[in-house]
Amino acid sequence: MGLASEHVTRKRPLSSEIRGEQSSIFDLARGRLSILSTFFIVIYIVVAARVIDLSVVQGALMKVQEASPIEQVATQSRARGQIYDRNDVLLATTLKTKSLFVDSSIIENPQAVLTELNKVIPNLPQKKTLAALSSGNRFDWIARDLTPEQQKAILMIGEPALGFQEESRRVYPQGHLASHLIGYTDVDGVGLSGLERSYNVALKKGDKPLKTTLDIRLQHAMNKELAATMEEFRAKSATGIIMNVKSGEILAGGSLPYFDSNNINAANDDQRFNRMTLGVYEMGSIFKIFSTAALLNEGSEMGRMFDARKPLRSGRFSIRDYHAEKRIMSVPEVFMHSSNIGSALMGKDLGADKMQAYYRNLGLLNKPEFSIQEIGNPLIPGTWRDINTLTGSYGHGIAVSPLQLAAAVATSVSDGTYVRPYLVEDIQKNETDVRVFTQDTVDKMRLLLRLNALEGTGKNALVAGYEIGGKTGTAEKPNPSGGYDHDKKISSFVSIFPAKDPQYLVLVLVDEPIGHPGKGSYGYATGGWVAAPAAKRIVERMVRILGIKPFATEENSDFVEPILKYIEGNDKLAHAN
Amino acid sequence: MKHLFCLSVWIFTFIIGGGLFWTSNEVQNAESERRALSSNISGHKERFAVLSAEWHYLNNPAYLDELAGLAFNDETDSSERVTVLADSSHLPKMEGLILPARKPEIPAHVKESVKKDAPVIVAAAKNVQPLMKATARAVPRKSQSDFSMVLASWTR
Repeated sequence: MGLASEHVTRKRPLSSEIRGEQSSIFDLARGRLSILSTFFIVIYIVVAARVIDLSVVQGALMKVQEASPIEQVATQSRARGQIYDRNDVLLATTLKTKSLFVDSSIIENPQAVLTELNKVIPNLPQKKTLAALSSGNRFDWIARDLTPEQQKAILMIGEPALGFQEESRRVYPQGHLASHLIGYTDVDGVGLSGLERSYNVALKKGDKPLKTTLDIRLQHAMNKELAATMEEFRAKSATGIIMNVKSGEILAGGSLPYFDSNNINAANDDQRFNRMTLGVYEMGSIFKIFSTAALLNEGSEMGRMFDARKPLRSGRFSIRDYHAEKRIMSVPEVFMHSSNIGSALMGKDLGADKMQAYYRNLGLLNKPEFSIQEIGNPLIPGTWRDINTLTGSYGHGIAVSPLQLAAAVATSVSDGTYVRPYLVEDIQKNETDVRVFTQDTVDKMRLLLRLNALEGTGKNALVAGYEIGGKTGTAEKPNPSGGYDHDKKISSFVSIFPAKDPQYLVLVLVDEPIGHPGKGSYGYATGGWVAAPAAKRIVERMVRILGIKPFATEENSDFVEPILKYIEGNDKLAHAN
Repeated sequence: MKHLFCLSVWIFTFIIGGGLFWTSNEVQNAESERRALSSNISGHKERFAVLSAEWHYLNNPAYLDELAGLAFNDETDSSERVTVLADSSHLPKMEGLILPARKPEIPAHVKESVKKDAPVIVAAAKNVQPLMKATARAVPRKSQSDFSMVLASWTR
């Protein structure tokens, strides 16, 4: 009983004790479980939030900000941008190549490796290569830009010290064509000249290809004719430009001798020199276009007469005519017979200030803007004297680049607003461009140029059916010891067609041609005999390439017919006097 | 209730864990596939660039001219030759014919000196016209009057 009661009495407290222990254990476990659950829940929430963040929030943002996987590939493998001509002909591209290096710390027999390499890579510099193979350095270049065949042959040597690194190489599929304008890069792909230099940043981004205004077919036609002219007249160099008169687009341009951009190291300085934009020359009589246009623009009549009967004296200088007519001539006759005396008198009438203003607006006195950076500064008199006004009117005493000349001629025959030449369509003709001549002056200049081609010094440039207009230029080259060298000439011709509303301009400039009695030049080395026939041949090729059909001039009487009659009458009158 | 809660936590854990594993696997597969595609595209781009460069090199006008010169052993693109070739479809059969040479029709305003230098076009029949004539395009007479004001100022 006592035990039972004791048991009973002990049981209760024990039970409550046990229950109390259980309760505290359960409470502890529950607390722990709650903490653990909370921990897991927090972790899951964090993970879920991160998943949502990565997949939804950032995913949407990345879609917007980043390119698609395909574009990413393109970005990763983005090489220097390509250059195309106006017809999507590839002018410059970048191809991946392999370059060979050596880890000479593990090479055993350098001489044997060199012997094997010589069989694969011709013209390997022996001493330098052997030094690289024997230096013990972990890295030395052996050869850059290997062909896949060369790479395969080197792998077949089985030399573990030789390794390849992927590089890229600039390739110019058109070779020497337009090489002065396209330019070239160094081995690290940095543009060093031409468009490669001017558009280096854009090309390096590789976002989009660079489309130029060039037409490589015309470039070839022009180069071929310039080369033939150079050969025929044993000239020192030749330069040519084909330009769209209306827009200022350069369709072809460059100079001979040329170089191949693929092998720039083989080119000498003379070949690398861009005579079209960097060379400046006294252009001679082509400048009569500008002095005549300026005079007409100032309100002068075409019938205004100039006395060219005897040389014009100014101080110790005497101005003579190359094709001396020795008579009083009207403006068209001065232009047609390319009278230096008549043009000098025009310049005198115009005055120094006005002449400079016109020449400045024509871009002849300033360095022009262009798509490439190799631009020559025009050479103009430090102090403009009276004699400079006289000589400047027929293109002496001022030296400009062929590019400047082409732009100024285009301005004189397009709509009178300065025509800005360009190679890439990021330079647009803007509203701020200066109006130099009125439409009336432009119309007169078109007629004078047509007249000169028909009856004056430009007959050799005529292409039947295409209404050629043009002007010759023959300038003696300055002598380094002073004065001019009578035996060294710059012969040039600028051709426009169709003269009634010119679309195209062809400029040919030949440096130091030598006249010869054969082949129809009769020993002359003037613009009319040297550059005009070349311009004619270029136009002949050009119209066929571009599919320009001849104009039916037989049905429509030539638009200079009335002025011809006028000159004929004036001629008779002059001779009668 | 406690068991249910515990069980659901475990099930939730397994589901989330399994889901994450599956997602990770899918991402890895997709990444691998993307890399393969990228490599493929890159290779194709490279091959395309090489082929394009080769194509344009082989179609370089200077090179084509050289090839044409080798094939025809003559200047193929001089204006005279182009004119004759363009007219050849109009020519009668050549056998037994001795073709007379004649000069192309040149506009009246072009002087004699120019006419002398003009290309000689070989033609056999009277109805054969030189290319200039055949493709001649009429110019609207409108432009003739554009210069009337200019001309008026000269004849004063």
